[in-house]
Amino acid sequence: MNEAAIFAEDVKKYYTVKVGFRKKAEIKAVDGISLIVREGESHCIVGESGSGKTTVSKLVLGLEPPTSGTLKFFGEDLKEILVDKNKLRAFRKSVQAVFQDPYSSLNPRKTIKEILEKPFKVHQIDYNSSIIESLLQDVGMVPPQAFLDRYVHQISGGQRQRVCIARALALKPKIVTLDEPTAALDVTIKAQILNLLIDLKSKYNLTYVIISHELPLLKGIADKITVMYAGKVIEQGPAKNIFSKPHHPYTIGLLESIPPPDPKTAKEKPLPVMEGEPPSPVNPPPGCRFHTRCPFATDVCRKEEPKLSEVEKEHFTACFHLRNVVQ
Amino acid sequence: MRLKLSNINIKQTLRRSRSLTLSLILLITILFLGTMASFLTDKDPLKTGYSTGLTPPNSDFLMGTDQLGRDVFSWTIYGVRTALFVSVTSTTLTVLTAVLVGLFAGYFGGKPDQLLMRITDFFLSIPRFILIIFAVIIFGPTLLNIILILSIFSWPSIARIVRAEVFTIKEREYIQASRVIGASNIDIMFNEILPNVIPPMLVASALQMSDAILVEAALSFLGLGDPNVPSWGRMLAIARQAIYAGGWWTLLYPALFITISVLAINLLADGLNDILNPKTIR
Ligand SMILES: Nc1ncnc2c1ncn2[C@@H]1O[C@H](COP(=O)(O)OP(=O)(O)O)[C@@H](O)[C@H]1O
Ligand SMILES: [Mg+2]
Repeated sequence: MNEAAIFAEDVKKYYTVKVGFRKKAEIKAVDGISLIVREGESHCIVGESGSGKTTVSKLVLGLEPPTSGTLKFFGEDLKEILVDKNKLRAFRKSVQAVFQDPYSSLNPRKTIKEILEKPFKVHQIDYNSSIIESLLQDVGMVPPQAFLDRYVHQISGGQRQRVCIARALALKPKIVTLDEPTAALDVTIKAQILNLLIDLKSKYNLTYVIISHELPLLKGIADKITVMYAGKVIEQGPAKNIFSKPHHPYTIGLLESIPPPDPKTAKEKPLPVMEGEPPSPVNPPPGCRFHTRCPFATDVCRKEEPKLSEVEKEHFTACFHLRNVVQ
Repeated sequence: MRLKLSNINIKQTLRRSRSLTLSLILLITILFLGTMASFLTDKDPLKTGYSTGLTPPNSDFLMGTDQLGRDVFSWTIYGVRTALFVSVTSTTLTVLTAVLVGLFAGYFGGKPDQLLMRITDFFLSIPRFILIIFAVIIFGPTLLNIILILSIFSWPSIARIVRAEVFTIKEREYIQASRVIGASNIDIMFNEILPNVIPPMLVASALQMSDAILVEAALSFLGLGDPNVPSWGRMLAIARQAIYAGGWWTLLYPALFITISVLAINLLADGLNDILNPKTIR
């Protein structure tokens, strides 16, 4: 079997922050996650705001080094990539990103043409106007000539996100991470962008890491799903299984959550069906991190931390009460 | 690094921003007088003895002469050169230093940033004009020294503005996007961040220019200006005695030119604010 596009094993990212005078606290943004993304897959990472999804994407993009653990891209260790100029250059070409907020993802002082030329300039790749135009065409901005000289404030939110996608595709990457690609958009536009992403994936032979807190939206696009809670993976498996037979009470809660009607006001709020707040990333509760909100929690959940166990083929869940929950 | 004004209609802006229109009229007039000085008068501004004693304005001496027989008109219009030269060069130096330091400190943070903050705290805690006076006394009142000293004591406050601006801009996602593409730090600083820092800097630079004119005039008034060039401030010092003999013209014209040039530049800052921030255009 081929090397996985992304291989992560027990990856942790702790941030040290100052609290008050000379005191420091450790924020466990990502606390030991493992995942394998195969080439051509759409791997979705879901979880509430603050669960560490964006941090995972920063690690995958090599923007920040992990505190510990192993990260490999097509078999190559990130540590080695980061210290080797040529490898890093190739890595920057093959791993691209679309960020959460299309409003701040594009430089307001640049025209769309300049934004799309930038990747070529950085990598000293020859380009011409027809290449730039075909990029715009591919993301559904037609006619492309009408957009080239516009500034970011002259196009709509959906169009901005399309430009971000075009920029990510410019270097013909292998992996694209998408951090909440539709969270800031109107409901009708959400669907358009998701469909566009599905089309582009086969056209450009992409591997996706899609981050979202709206699990139901991902039905059409996800191959694998990793559910994160407070920096940990609590369920992971093929999307089909997770949608049809979720095991963890948290995943069940996420699935029942309906995408909020107005994405601008409801953006990243706690999910309506799930009561309570996620725990603090500085002092996570002992035992299962979800026990403070879990309707099935018992003594064992408060003391011991559940390990991920295989409930079905390639489908893992970390919960002590699987039988009760599923019934 | 180019500033994009292509999406701004110049004619419309001029019509809407009265400060800009007025400022441009005043600035063009002053610049005309300064650059054309040698065609507008054949008198040497520094030369004494054109007349015997204080002479009121007449057809020979448009702005009269002072008690040593110097021509106030040629002094005043040659004074435009001195004022603008000091102002433009010191502002350029100030802003270049401030932008470079502020950009690096704001972008990289950490130790260099802390150092910058200490330095600026020091400069900002002592009245700048006193420092400038001391420095001019120590190093001598030449035009070059005045320009350098003005720049050295002026960049810290502007560097702080740049730093604060860079601090917020570098957190925007388009900076992360540039990094993901593989852009270098220098590329990001100068091509992605700098264009966003320039608009607020233009306003600060304009204010720095008018401030430099005032400081140079004040130094010259105190006898700390370069004695080899005509300066409005020095004519004001001369006026201090002439005024008792009724020589109001020695006071009026240099004072008028200082006021007009400072006003024109401040209006320019105001006008730039209007252009760069379309919401404020009425
Ligand atoms: N650079 C950072 N410094 C300190 N804490 C951070 C940093 N980035 C993220 N965090 C913290 O890590 C946790 C996870 O954040 P994030 O990965 O953004 O979650 P999500 O994307 O799922 O909302 C949050 O508590 C957040 O405050
Ligand atoms: Mg996030």
